[in-house]
Amino acid sequence: MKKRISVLCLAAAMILTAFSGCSSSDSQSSGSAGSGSESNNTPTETVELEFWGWWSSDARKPYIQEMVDNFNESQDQYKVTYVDIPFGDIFTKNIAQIAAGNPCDIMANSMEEVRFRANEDQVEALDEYITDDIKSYFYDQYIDACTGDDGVLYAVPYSVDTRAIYYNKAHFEEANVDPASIQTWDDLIAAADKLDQKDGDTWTRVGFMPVLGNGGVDTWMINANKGVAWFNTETLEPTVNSDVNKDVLKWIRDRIDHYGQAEYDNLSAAFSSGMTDPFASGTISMLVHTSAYTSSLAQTAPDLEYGVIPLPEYKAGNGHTANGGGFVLEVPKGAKNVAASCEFIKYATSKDTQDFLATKIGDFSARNDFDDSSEFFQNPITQDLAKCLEETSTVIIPNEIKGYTDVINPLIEEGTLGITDTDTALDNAQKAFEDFVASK
Amino acid sequence: MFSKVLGKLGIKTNQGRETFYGYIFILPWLIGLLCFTLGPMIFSFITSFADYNMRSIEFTGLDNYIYMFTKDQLFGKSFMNTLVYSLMNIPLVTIGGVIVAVLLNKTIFGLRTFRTIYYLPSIMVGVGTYFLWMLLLDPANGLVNAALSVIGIDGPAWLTDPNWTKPAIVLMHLWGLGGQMLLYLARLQSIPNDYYEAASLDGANAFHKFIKITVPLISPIIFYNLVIGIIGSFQVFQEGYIFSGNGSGSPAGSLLFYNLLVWNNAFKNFDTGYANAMCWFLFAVVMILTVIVQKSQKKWVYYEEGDNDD
Amino acid sequence: MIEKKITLGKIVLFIILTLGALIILFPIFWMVSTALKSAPEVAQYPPTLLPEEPLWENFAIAWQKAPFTQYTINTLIIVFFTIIGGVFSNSLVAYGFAKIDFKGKKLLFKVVLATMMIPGFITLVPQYVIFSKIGWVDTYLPLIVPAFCANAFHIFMMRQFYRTIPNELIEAAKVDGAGHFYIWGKLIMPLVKPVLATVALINFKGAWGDFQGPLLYLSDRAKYTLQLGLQVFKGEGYTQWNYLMAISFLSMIPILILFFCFQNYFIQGMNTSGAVK
Repeated sequence: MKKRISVLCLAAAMILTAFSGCSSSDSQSSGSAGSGSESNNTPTETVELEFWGWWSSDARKPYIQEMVDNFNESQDQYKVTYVDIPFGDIFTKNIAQIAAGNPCDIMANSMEEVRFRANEDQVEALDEYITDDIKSYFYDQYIDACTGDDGVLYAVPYSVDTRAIYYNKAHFEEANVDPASIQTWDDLIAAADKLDQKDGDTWTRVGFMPVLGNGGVDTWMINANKGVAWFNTETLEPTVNSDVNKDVLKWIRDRIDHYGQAEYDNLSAAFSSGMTDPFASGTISMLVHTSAYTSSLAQTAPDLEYGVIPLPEYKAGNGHTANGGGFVLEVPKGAKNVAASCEFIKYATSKDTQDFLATKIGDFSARNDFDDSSEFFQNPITQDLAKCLEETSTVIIPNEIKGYTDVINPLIEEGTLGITDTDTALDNAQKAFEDFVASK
Repeated sequence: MFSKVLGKLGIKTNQGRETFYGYIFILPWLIGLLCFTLGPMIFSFITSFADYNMRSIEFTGLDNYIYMFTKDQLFGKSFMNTLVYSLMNIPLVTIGGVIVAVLLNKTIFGLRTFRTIYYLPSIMVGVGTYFLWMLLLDPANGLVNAALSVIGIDGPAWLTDPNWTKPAIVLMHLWGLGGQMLLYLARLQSIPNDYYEAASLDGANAFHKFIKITVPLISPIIFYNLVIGIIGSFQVFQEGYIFSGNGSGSPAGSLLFYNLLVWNNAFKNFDTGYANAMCWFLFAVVMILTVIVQKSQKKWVYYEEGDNDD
Repeated sequence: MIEKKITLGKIVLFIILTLGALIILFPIFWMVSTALKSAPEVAQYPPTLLPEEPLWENFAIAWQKAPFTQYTINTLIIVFFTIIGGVFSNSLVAYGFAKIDFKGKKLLFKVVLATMMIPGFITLVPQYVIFSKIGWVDTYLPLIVPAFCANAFHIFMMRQFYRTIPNELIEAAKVDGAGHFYIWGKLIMPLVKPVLATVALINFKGAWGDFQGPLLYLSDRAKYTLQLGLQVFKGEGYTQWNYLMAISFLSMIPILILFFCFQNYFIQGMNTSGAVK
């Protein structure tokens, strides 16, 4: 018996050494830090770079891969590998790697929080490599979003999005609704009423429900306030329970009541399961969604005839403000080759590459040097979305009050769901926000 | 092999030998503890007293704990969410597991297939399962509400009604109780039939036999599952993360479980020091609960060897 | 008379079990049904119960979308070592805690219990840093080696089973001059085979389904596991549910077969009391 155990131990030890042996040789050849390729034939050492994003679908990944391949072929100094990691998990892995001092070289991330990550020392400064002339090719608001409190650039805009109302063309024709007639919230409701269809007690067609799809309470608040709704941008004082906000939340709740809580529950559950899509199936006529929705509709409803209109005005003359955001490319703190990474970032955000990505994937660019000659802009849906983009507000939460949304959102949602009266819900949220500021 | 070592170490007493062998047997675990667990634990404990974001560390004394108990509005909410969920989940899944195990311990046509089917959900891993359940729990078209309507019940809007989100998760876990069931079944099979025959001769009915024979004999496994259940329930994370769509814990914060808040603090807000402080509080709570269960063990857990003292 | 009663009871039991089985099988039925649908049909609202036209080729298409054969082999390598390590180390350590009376045992067992209660997020990053410093990142070692160091949950579980084995058995063997390794290997291991099998199964399940571990530690695509491979179907804002479900279903089959064939092994009597008599 004793003999057998020692044999077992020995075997285990051998296996382990074998494993670590082959692993160490592996890690040499595929190290993310780019220790150089093993073949010494090339005179200059190729720098290997890892580029992380979460884009893994057929609609995007092949084109990102193509873009990366093009970059690799365009020069022989750098070799980029695209790695897709699921959204959410990508942050866990990134933080672990930053802590270990060996992060990836280039990472996609959300534009809204660049400033926060800069403040927390999670990203490298890029000023040295991304010069002012490069910056000048992007719209100011997006460069601003990529700039830290210290005035240093920490990321480069990669793609931007906006929100619009998608409508079902067949429904509109049948109900005789002209999309151009929807200019204000009142017009929207009037159109929705025409589109509604009911069979006894059950809705067979829902004209419009405000907080479904990718539109939330935020969308309407920002639309009504022409931008930031929850706090004063100068003083950072909470303005959650302002008169406008109370009016907006009541409007949302009234709209849900119009269809009934049960109908809202049904549709909301259908969207959140991620599988079914009531807009794609023609159950609802209008839906707020981001500009990226077109690529998912291409998969789930290739035959659907739909159009796009801007979010209507809260009151005539108030403007069609939509909330939007975007994604950036940045270099995680501690990455070994910031200069090389920036070469790739410059390539990925260059006019030609952005045009390629926009045409293939359908994402909008943050660059200001596009003209209508691009193939991308020939698509009528794209043209309409581009108009929405012009009235898009990207809310960057100041670092001083970062995290307040976690505190107020559940309370506001109680109002949306009809658990508390809408005015009370906003009053509660206001109080919570004030307490939050006080505790900071 | 070891006797020489023992001799060299000068260990001659029986107790000494036992201690030596004891440590040899637990050596794999000790190595793992020292190499992979102890360091991280100490590190996280120290940083729980600091403002730490993986990049820089600044000691702030008890500030994290003070903020947690007096100022963080989400801390209490997430703790209550977790507590309420645990109080539903632990007893129901435990009782369900025992019942199914007892039913599957009979001889019946198709037993092998039944056992496989009942075990099946517990091998369904991956996020796909969660999304399947979102479809099953769909208020309008889901199977769960369709089944309820057959018996005349108008089912709730499970995952969109804040009051029903936690029961929905418990329901999903009841479906997956096969793993627990397997352990009970393994123990049940080792109970000799004579116990039941003797009881039958004394005129005991099925319920009596269940209470007087079955339950005591599987009590070590119930105890195990109870402890595991407490630990697991208080660390519920994935369900809240996926069902709330974006990790926010919606609807109305009802799925903001404790560990979801920890994750948000650590990996979204870069507030690792605070997240660690939260973890250590949870650790303390679970520890206390486990000690209570452990102490109660003497009263209801039956070991054949007879010593219940640890 | 008696026989008839038993039969009636069994029929009721059979009906109850069948109903339960149908409920349990429904999600799996839905899984397969989704796997056979086209993308627009998956998105259809209200959803259809059965595919209009079952697309059996979805399984083949899905398998081609990523090197799933390679991923399966990779996963099996990890699973193999995890099972060996898990069964060996856990049974050893659990025996130590259940059947050997050594100094510091009570304290150390409390530590075992305590390590179970540590929220996983506490150790996630520091452990990553450790594995990174010793150069194990992007190898299978961080996924395999810890299995050889026993797992607190499994130690605890096995100890619960060991404790149901009467001490007389061990005492008697000791009187005969047997050492602990002999008792553990020759006497106890055969008695707790079902539990060992269960631990093996749990290890199989754990390693087969692990997502977080491989995600954190593996970067090289050639080393990916099945669970990581499944991510190829999950896009941003749009998921290829039919393919995801197809591969999810296929990936369940090995455990299913394993369980079906060896279930007697998992749940057969431990015959401990038989050994005493």
